[in-house]
Amino acid sequence: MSALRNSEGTVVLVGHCPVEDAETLLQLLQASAGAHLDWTQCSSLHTAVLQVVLAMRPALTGPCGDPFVAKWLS
Amino acid sequence: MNTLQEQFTAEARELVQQALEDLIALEREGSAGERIDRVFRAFHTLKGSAGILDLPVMGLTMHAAEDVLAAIQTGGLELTPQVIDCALACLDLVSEWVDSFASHGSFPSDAAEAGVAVTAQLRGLLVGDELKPNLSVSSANLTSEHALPQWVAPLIDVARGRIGQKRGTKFVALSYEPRADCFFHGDDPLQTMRKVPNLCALHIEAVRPWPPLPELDPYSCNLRFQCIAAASRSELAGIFRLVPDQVRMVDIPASALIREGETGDDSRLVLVCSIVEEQLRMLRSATDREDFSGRVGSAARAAMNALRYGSRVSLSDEIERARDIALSLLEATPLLAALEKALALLGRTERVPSGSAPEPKPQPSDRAGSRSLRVDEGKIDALGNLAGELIVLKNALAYLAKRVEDESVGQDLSRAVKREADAMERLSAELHAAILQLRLVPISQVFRRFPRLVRDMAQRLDKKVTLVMQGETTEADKTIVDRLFDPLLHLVRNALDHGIESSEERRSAGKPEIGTITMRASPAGRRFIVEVSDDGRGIDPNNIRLKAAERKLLPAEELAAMPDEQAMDLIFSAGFSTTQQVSDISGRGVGMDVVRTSVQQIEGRVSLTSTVGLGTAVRLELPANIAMSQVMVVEAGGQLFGIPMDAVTETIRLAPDRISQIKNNTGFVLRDRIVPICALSGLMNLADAPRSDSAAKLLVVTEVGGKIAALEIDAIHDRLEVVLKPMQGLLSGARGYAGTTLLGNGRVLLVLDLKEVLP
Amino acid sequence: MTQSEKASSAIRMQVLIVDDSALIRLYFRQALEGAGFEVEQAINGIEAMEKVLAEMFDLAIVDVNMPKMDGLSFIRKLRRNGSDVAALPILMVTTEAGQKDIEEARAAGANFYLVKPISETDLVRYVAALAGVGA
Repeated sequence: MSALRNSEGTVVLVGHCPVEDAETLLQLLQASAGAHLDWTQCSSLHTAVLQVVLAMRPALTGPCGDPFVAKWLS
Repeated sequence: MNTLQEQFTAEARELVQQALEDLIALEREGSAGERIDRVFRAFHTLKGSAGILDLPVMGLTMHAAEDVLAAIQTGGLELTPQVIDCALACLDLVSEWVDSFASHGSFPSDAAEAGVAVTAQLRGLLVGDELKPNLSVSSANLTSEHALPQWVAPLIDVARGRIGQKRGTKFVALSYEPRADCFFHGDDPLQTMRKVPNLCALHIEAVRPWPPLPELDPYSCNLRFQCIAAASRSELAGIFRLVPDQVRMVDIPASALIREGETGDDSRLVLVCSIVEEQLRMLRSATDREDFSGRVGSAARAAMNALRYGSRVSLSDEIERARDIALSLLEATPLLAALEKALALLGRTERVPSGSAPEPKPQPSDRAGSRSLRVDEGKIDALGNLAGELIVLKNALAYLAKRVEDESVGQDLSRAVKREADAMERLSAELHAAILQLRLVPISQVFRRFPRLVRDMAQRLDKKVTLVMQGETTEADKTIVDRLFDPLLHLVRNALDHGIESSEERRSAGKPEIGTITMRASPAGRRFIVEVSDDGRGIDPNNIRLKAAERKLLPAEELAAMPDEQAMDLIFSAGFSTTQQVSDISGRGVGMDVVRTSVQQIEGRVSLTSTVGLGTAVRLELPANIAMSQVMVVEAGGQLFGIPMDAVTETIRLAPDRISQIKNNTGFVLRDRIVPICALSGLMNLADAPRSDSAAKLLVVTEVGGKIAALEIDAIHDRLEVVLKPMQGLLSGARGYAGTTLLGNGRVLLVLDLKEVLP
Repeated sequence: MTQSEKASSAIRMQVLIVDDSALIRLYFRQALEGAGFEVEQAINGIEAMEKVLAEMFDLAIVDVNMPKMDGLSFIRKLRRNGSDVAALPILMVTTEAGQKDIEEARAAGANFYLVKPISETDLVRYVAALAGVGA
């Protein structure tokens, strides 16, 4: 599992996030309205995970740990 | 039209004309030599001009023509009549477009259609030729950003910032829209995008609007990826080989990425870097040492200039120092090092490919080109009129000099004045002669229009004819040369229509199958000769006698007694025509009499000789220079008019008591003759200036065709020696005018034909 | 150039345009004169050679394809000249963007290379940079 919620209620992505994480991330973000996402510690994202982030547009703590995503998504 | 448009029109017309001539000549001579190069260059230049004026239809059509010409040059395509026809048709179309552009500022509405058709025709000639890939005329190939798909434009803006100004790199825009179920196939589109080399811009967006969150399916892909990469299509095709149906690619021309309007420091920096980089490459591509100091010196200068432009003065100074060291050591390395250092400090490094450039091509021989100016004809006319005025002035001065002599103001002064008057005389004569020289043009100017006409007409008449031109460098006044076109055209038509026989006739007569029409010009003192001859069936003088008798031109006995040459001359009689058939070429009613009249109008003579079975020759003898006319400028009804001096007897200021009423007219007695007075303003339908009846009248007494009359005018201005231009265009039917001339101040003066003006 | 740059370049930059097309020469001239440059013209390499030997220029813009001493020949000849006219910066202009043409221009000694059609703005920027305007 690479998607967690920490003590302050922020959702944190850690390490490599494969396709399965997409569903988890969706649920975590849905559970808390006004959710906050910290993706500084993930190393790479699957498209599906990125898709969730783009669709839900949570408040972000960045930059994204995946360098490709960090470079091309401002 | 603005200057640029005028320049385009003038240049395009010249290029088309020259290319037309060259193509006709090429048909005769084959494709070796300068001509084919010239035609290629014509299309090439026209293509470039179309680019400048933003006329893509013309650009594409010219590109196709250029490719055809290139194929001919390299021998890949044979120069057949079909190819020539195609090229001529293309030039005709361009000619039409340019005329439309000149009159309306745009091409005709069917230009795109016509252009596509001609382009297809031209490219059709190249089928099977591998020199250039088939350029479809779709808008995707126009090198304008507006032709790129909508989604590319925003990407380009991003890309520009990142790529700087790389030269010669190919860019491709790519749009990848994965299938919604791609995740179930194990696809990770984002991962695929990471593999794209040299990514310059990437944009990720939703294909369809995101559904409300409860309905969001994270495993249905709703993303689209768009990017620009500095890579080839094949590279990209390889990366996306598993999903080719989900990917679209578009080539981006390098020009679309070079943007105008940026004034930021960033773009300046990019520009400076690219210049400095280029100097490194240029220095490294040296092939020999001969140009060492030039190469090093210019590279340094370009880099220094660019650095100063980018406000990096200290870097510029370093380059200067490095250059001095390099030049003294005769070694480029110090400069190379300094340039690389400057680049690094500017924030970029560049890997420069090693390897030498190809051998320079052998030099063509340097022949001095002829230097000529294109000058407006009106300006030369104005100059001519000024020279004429100068002559009048000079005459006045000569007269004064004489008076000075007579009235004994002292020998010294008198001699001094005479000396200056003599000098003035010489100078004005020289100036006058020089101006007349300026007006001289070679006969080729009118001859050159004929090869195409002859070719077309011969084709239509299904006759084989070749046109030979000689003596084209013979020079004559431009007006005369221009006025030669119509009579020459008629003579040529006659020769084609009635003179040259059909191929079978010629064969059975033992003549070469191809008939020859010759146009020859030669100088003859202050006149020159133009002869149009053919080797056709000739004219039988007895035929002429018969026709003349039919038309009752002369009594039969006279005709019989007349020698053959005289009989031949009857051809020029009014209403004469040697054939009942009216071909569509010669038309009805334009007989040799019209030829004679038009030649006579330019003070020329025309005569004809012929031998049955051998051919006919028509000879025109013409003056090489136009006569200038003397004109008096007068004012009436608030306007200026010119009165030909040869009609003017004298000018009089007439006291009112000398004026009498004779029947319904006013008149006066001049040396026992009654002279009617007409107000010029009235004759020209202009309002009269209010005048008191007690004032003296200013009159110009004229005598025309035996009739004497006095024109009442308001003022007399100068006397001029001018070139009279006949009325043209819409006004050519207007009665009362002998022509127009251009005054020194640039205004047009109407010169009256008194025969028609006076009641 | 900005207005202030135009005004402050006390010595006007002199540019020579070498192109056999009168239309191109006019187009470039209008663009450059409008930006404050002094412009001279030559219709081929031979005339260009005469002009650069007779007057000081800051930059020459040369068309690659011209009859009677094409652009490349002119540049090579210029670079081999014994005087300091050999170091004249040269901007080459062409309709082709092939690698071979670029390399040939580089080898001949051109300092920069632009592919037609060139917008007025770009022309002015590159000329300004290569001639050393501003600072």
